[in-house]
Amino acid sequence: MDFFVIIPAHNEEERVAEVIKKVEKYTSNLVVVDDGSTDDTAKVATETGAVVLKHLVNLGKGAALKTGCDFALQHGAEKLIVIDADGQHEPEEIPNFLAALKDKDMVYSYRQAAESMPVVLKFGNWFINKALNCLCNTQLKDSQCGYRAFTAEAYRKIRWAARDYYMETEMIIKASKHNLKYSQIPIKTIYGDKYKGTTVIDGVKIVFKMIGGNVLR
Amino acid sequence: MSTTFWIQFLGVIFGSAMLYFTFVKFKRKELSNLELIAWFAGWILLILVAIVPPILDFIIAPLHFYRRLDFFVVLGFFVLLGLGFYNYGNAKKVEQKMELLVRKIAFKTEPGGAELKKDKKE
Repeated sequence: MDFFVIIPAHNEEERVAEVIKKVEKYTSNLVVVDDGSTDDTAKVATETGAVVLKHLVNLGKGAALKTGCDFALQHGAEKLIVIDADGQHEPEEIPNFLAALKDKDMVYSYRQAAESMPVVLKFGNWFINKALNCLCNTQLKDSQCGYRAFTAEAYRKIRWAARDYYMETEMIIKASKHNLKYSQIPIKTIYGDKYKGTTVIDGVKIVFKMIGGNVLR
Repeated sequence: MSTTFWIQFLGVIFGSAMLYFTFVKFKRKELSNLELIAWFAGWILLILVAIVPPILDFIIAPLHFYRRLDFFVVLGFFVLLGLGFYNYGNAKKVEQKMELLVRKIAFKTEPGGAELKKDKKE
C-alpha cells in the first residue's frame, strides 16, 4: 500500500460524498473520520464505500486527523494526504502532491488569492503567516491551508497534540524543529459555507498558542 | 451594630448554605466520607471566622494588613487563582483521556464502508 487520503468530517453530509467520489479516482485508500457529527455524515460516507471511523463526540479537526493518520499508519501507509471534507480542496490536485512529495518530507499548499475569501480571513492568514515564518524561520506562503501531504516518517515526527485548528500551525513548528524538507504547491480553493471552518476566534487562539505554547518553549 | 455586621451575616448564611449543599451531595453519594469531613471543616471554619473575625488576628497582625477584610480579599484572590489553575489542569487531563478513549473506540468499532484496497494506480 502506498498513499492514503484522510478526510476529517464534521456535519458535512451534503458535501462529503462528492469529495469521496472525486478522491476515489486516485486511490481506494481513503479514510473518512466522522468527528462526532450530528447529521448523517457517517452514513453518507459509508454508503460511498469509504472506510469510515467514527468519533463518538466532536473533538476537533486536529484530533480527527490524528485518528485518521494513526489508522492509516497501522494499515501500512507510506504517504498521507489530508484534505477537507467541505469541498474547499480539489482532489484533482492529488497527483501534484504525490509528485512534489517524491524527494521531500512534506508538501504544503497555498491558496491562490480567491476573490471569495472573506477579508477577515485574508488578514488573519497574512498575520499568522508572517508571525510563523518569523518564529520558525520558514518561507511558507499559506500556513493555514489544510491540504497537505507528508510521508509516514514525517508524520511520526510531527504528530501533533492539538485537537483544534492549531494542529496546522503545530505541524509546521514541529516540521521546522525536525528540519523536514518541504515544498509548496498552489491549489485552487472554493469557499462554500462561510460559517464553517476557521473563525476569527480560532485565529486569535492560534496566535496565542503559537507564541506562548510551542515556539518559545 | 458593627460596620462589618452584614458582611459577617452574609458569611454565616453562605457557610450554612454550603454546609447544606455539601451534605446533600454526600447523601447522593457524590462525596466520600473523607471529602464530607474536609468540606465540612472548611465551611465551619468560614462560619467561625465570620462570627469571630479576631480569631485570625494571629495571622493577620504579622502581615500588617490595614483591615481584616483586606486579608480576606487577598486570600480570596489566591484561592480563586489556585482553584482556576487546578480546574484548568483537571480539564486538560479529562480532555486528553477523552481523546484517547474516543480514538480507541473509533479504532475498535468495525470501520464502515469497504475494506482498504490497493491503489488504483498500482
